[in-house]
Amino acid sequence: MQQKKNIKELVTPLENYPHLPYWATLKEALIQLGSALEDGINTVLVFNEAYKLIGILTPSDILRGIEPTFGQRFKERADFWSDLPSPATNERMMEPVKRFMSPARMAIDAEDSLFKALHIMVSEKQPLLAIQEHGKIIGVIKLDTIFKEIIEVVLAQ
Amino acid sequence: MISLLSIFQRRKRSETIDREGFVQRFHNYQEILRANRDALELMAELQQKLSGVFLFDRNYLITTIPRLENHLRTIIDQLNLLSDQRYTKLPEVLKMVMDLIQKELSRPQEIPKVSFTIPFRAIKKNMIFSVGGKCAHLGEIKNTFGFPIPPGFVISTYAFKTFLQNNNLHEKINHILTALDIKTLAELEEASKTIQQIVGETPLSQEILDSIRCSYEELTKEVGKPVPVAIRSSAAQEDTTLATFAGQYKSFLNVPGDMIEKYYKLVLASQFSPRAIYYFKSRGFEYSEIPMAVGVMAMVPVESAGIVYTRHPEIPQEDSLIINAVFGLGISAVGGETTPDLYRVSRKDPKNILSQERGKQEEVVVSASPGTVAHITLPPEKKNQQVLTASQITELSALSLELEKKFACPQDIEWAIDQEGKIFILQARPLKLRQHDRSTKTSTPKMAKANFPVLAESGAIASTGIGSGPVYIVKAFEDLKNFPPGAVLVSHHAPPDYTLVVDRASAIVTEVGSAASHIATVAREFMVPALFNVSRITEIVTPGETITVDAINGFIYQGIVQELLDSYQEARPPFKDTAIYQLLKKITQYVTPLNLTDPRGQNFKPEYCKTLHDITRFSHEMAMQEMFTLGERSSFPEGATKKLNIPQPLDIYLIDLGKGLKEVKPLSSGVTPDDIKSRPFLALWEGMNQVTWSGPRPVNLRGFMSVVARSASDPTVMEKLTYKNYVIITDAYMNFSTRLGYHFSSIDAFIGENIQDNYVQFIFNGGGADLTRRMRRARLISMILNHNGFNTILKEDNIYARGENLEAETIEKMLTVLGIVVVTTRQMDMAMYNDKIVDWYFQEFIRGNYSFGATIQK
Repeated sequence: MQQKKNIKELVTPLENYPHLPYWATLKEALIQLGSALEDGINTVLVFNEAYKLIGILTPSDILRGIEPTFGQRFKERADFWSDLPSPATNERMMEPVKRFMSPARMAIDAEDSLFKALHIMVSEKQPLLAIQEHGKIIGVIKLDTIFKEIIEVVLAQ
Repeated sequence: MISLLSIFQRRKRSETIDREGFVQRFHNYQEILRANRDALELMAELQQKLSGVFLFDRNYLITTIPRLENHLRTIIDQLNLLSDQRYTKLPEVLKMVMDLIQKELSRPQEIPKVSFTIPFRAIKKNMIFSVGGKCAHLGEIKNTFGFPIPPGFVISTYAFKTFLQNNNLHEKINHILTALDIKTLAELEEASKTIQQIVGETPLSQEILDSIRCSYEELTKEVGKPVPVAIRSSAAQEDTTLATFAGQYKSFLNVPGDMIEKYYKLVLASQFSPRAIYYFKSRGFEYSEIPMAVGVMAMVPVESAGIVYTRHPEIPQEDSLIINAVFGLGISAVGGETTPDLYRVSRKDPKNILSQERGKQEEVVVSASPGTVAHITLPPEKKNQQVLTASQITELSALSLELEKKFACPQDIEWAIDQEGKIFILQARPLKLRQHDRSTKTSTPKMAKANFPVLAESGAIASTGIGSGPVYIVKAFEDLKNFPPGAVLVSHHAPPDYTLVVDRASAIVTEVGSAASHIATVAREFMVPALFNVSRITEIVTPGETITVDAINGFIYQGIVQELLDSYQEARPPFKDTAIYQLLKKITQYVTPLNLTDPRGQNFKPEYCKTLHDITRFSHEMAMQEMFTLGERSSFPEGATKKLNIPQPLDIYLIDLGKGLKEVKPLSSGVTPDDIKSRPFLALWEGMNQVTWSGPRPVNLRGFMSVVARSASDPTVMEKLTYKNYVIITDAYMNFSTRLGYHFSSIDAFIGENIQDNYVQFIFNGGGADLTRRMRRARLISMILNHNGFNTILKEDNIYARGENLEAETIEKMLTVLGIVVVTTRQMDMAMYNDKIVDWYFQEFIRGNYSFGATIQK
């Protein structure tokens, strides 16, 4: 497949995403995500004290934080909404997001191919990937973005 | 507020200061504060004297002004020591202002050199210093406006001056007067007697005698024959009160031509009657400041005489003029021994005689032996006559009204009509109409309370007066922009910045403050009523509602209490007409007005200082700024600092300048917060300690510079990365520079015994995130600080905040808030995704939730 674009052209700046330090609470993550969803963003980036990207919080991560039984064996619950949040949930809300985040994959380089980026994201089930250049993180690339490009190329045939 | 730029520039100064240097500069700063307080107190005192209610004398001015100057010198010298001679222009500015003041203080009374005697026809208006007020006025009546006055001449003030110089008369008199205590009546009478005797014994020089004789001969020629004269004082002073003074001196009627000299000296001597001495000494005059001229006027062969008031003195709106008339000399009319005829005439039409009341005159005053008059029985045919005919009344009225028109103010006129029916003006002066009395303690508060809800009953009066207007609550400097003219400024406190709107306010009310503060000084200058220490007033009043502030009795009412406003009139108490008061007024224009109101303004520079108050304001502001950056420019050797032992993962190094610790500890041992006595630090620590520490130890970022460089756009951030967190303390002072994460913050505070010395300053900038996030975090911090009583300036990711002139407890609360903020918001810039998030964090803060993040177990 001919590469229409390279990674650098499809980079999304870090600033577009909400950020939190790893010691921020799950509640803060909810606040951030709640606001970001209005902008069409559904991931929170997690950094350490040196402002290094160390993880991401996807909606699934956060849901599991709110209620660990999500995604496990299904059992109908009539009291789902009325019980939300449960006391256990409230306790978990005060936990650091470090516990719930998906650790950020090592960043790929800006010179790497889109294909490599695509492979990592699909196999690791990560919606985005940090991009580094000369040792600095310059942004992230989203799976959605690459997917859009693929659609264009495929349908153009 | 200051220019953020200047603070940052100050920080970049290269010279570092060691411990010795810091201690010394701190001492300079204390001296500045003290001298500033003292200067403001003296200025407040001077303003108090300007109210006219308190008497003072020249001695007060001569001693107070140098004291004030000394305080200013101290301020300037100490400021230059503190700042390493940055303000070399200030001494020049001080000298310039003091020169202007000195000029006023030592202005000599000018007695122009003129002839010893001057005929009335040669008198011009500008000769008042030569011929005195009364005669100058008469001269104008005759020469400028052409009204008839009896022929005569004036013995000038120059003659007076010359006379005083004879035989050292001046020194002799001065000697007695300086030593005199006017409160002791016996002394007063003794001094008077002695001086009058000396005056009598001192001869007039031959030149003066010749002059008098010559002028009298001319008078004789003009009249057609030798006639006796009336001799009257005419003191040389510009103020209208001198009419009162003149009342203290004697006049002599019916003096023969060859006795003029004798009676001239008697008039001069009357300046030293006990009553006269008391009057001018108690008002701070030197007697030589009121040089005396004496008018010599031919006696009119009087048929009738009296007074005209061109307006009813008690009921000025009545639109009538009043004539008193008696037969014979007019003294009986003035003296109150007789009931004169009383005529009321329409001002619009002098032919319209509104009323004619016959008086009751039994005796008539006529000339008798030289220098005296006699009371003889009124001839029976005159007893039943009206003193003036209708046509005389009309003629006199018309003349008087014309006189009033020429002088553009109501007149009090002494007139006489001679035996040929000719009208003469003997004297004319401005008529004092009745004014409202100003009672300082009225019974109106009781009445007012009955009809108007009382919002506050106590407060410290910082500037007297009564004002009314809509409430405008000011919480931050920005609020002033929309301050409506005539509103009542209501705020928790009023820092110097608020002086910008004083002249537009109808009153000022604050919850804290001091009468010696800048704003109180300016309020008094503009006579805006101000009431301080009215607790919780910002909660009690509603924005926009009209209130009345009684800053005389200390009440605040809801609504407009018209009676109170009416009862308070700016009636001038008599003291305001005196020379000494006028001198104070001239001097204070160089002392109290504040031109440098806005530290951010273009004119906040030494060269724009026009008054002593400007200089103190400028210096105080500069001193505060210097102190602020001192901590950062200091470098202390390892041995001089003690590490603060605290559970939080934070490295803080302590430097005690003295009395900051409870007891002296050996350098090797660490220090815990329990050992610390520094009041500001303890308040700050209370805040810092309250917050659950979340996250790791703030990092020393050598290893992560590359990461930082990506997000931090300010290159100077890098060089400060290895900076230590220092806190410099005394028992009352703290200077804390810190770096928690990627930002820089500095806190400088003083809590002492005087409210006007208390302050807290805070500066914050930087961060690890991108500029937009850093700006949001700065905005969050400034919102929190504003909410807690700070005045803040926000520019991009820089904040400067200040609280000053507040009570110790308030400053402590503000420091605690700072402690919380500084810890909690470190690295919070990261989380500043958008403005809604900023607001969310702000709301959490207001609710008291500020432990964000979880404690990390390592």
